[in-house]
Amino acid sequence: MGLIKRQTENKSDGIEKRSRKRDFAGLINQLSSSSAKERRWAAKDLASYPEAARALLDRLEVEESASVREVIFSSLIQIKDDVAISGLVDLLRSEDVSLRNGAVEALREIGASVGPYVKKMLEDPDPDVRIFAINVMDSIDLPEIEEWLLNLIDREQNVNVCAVALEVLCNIGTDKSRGSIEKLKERFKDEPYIQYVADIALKNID
Amino acid sequence: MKRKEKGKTILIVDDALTVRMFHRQILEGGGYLVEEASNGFEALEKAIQSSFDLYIVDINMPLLDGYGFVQKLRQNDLPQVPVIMVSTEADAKDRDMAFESGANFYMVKPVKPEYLLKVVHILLGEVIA
Amino acid sequence: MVVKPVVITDYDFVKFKELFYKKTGIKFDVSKRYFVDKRLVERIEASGCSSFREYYNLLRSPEGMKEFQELINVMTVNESYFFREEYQFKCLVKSALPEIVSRKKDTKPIRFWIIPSAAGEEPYSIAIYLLEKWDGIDKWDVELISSDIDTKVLDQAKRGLYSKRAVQYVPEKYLRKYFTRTADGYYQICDDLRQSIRFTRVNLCDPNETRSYRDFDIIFCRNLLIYFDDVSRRLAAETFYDALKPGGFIFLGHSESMSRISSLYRIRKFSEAIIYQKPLEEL
Repeated sequence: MGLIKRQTENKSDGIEKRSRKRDFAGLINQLSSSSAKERRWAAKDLASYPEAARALLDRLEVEESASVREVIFSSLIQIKDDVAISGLVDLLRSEDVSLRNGAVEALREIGASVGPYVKKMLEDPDPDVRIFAINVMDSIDLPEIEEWLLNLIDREQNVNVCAVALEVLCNIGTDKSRGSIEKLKERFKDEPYIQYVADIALKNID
Repeated sequence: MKRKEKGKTILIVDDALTVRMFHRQILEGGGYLVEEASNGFEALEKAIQSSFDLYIVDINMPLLDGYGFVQKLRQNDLPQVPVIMVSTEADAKDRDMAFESGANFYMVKPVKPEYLLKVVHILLGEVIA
Repeated sequence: MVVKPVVITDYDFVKFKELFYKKTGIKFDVSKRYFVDKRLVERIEASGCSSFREYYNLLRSPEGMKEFQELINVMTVNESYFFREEYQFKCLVKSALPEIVSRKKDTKPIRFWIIPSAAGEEPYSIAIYLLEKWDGIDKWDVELISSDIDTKVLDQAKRGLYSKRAVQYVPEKYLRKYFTRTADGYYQICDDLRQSIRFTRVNLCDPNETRSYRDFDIIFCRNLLIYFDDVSRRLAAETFYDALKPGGFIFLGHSESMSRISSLYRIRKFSEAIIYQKPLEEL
């Protein structure tokens, strides 16, 4: 017993390489395998096939294993084409909290290119969806975001949507934001939290 | 009248920095010690490392959301202390899910300072003047 | 023209702390404030930014990748040496291995993956620790595999020649037992240990390269993920998930945490350290 020795210096590293060819059709099939491990590997390998985005998104809707879901999100992040991004944005409307939060996280990681897609969600009738859209914007670096948020808070009625927009403006607000933030403070005079965040945002502009 | 016991520690779990700062200000004003975590998984790590008297938990957070956090907290071999769940959603479904996952109280954002303090006092079993 | 001195406000500090944690997994507490502020101001000035705000936005942008690397370098002390963060090795032999052994139903070797290998300090330290501090070594076979992306350091690791500085925390009796002093003052690790570790080159973020790394009981991955971007870190956490046996453990660096990367692992608290575990049942 003890530490196992390498046989000789130049022997192959002993870790067997897998060489079975993994073709697209086969991988798509394995996405619905009954073994979570197999689904996870299929999802992982599909990251190198852009045309897999639709199938990955479809699987996400029914997938129950957290580890497979996590891998599917990672593959969509890597594919990051129109299908992948649109599909992730649609998930912001999902009733499933973990799916929705996974989508927020994935969109953030894709970065600036998701901007125009999430912007559309600021018009969604569901305030929570508007909040998730703003959550995504918080992590992406895009100069237009300030403008979008100002347009939003000038007419937004929901106090929590305004609060979340202010949270982002604390980080990116410039002189341009001052007027809208002050108006918002006035409109929600009775909300201590709005007063609190608005003051931080204004202070950060100075 | 019994004076409120000092030195109880509350963990605030929310991904928004300003929410945590706001809640901290309120709770410290009420004489509590405060710690913060920015998602459910980080909160769980803290809960395992040190003990808290109460948790105030947001529902929507990355990695591990509020429901998931409370479920894990309740399943783990940890002190079963009160949890207040906070959400932007006023609808009954969220509230039901919060209670189902193991929360003791459900609160809709934005939180009013006096109300938050009152609920915290009650859940900690402190008599208020 | 008057140049405004760069000031880090409380809000800035917290904001920065969060960003740094999110990107590197490293936590600063308030006690590090002075240290952090000082280096931050240094980097803000060196990068040509005029305020924290401007610098923060640079760090968040894709153009800021290089600057972030600079920042990590000044904020962390990245030096490999033997017996670094020894309390984790204690946790390994006192808590993690006994649990693995108690669950084990076969007599196959206990497998370790140590990544990055760097110049070998980490895997050799573990080998010495196992031989000296773990009584299970008489009953069980142990297989140590250590990987790095950098073939240059892999060659150094295989060679096993170290400066006095690298071995400064190795107790004298182990130095005598496992090393020989060279004429020019270096320490050469013995052949027995050199043959006990299989060094391999691997890119942690390429599934084609990591696919065959599986059935590990223990993974050490200390102070590596801090240098990865968000996506790579995610991929690395997923790679480890597949590489570990159910119930296997992963050790990260002492200021690193899994909590910003993946929620798939269980957090386990032992008296020596907090480590992460792949759940026994598939998630």
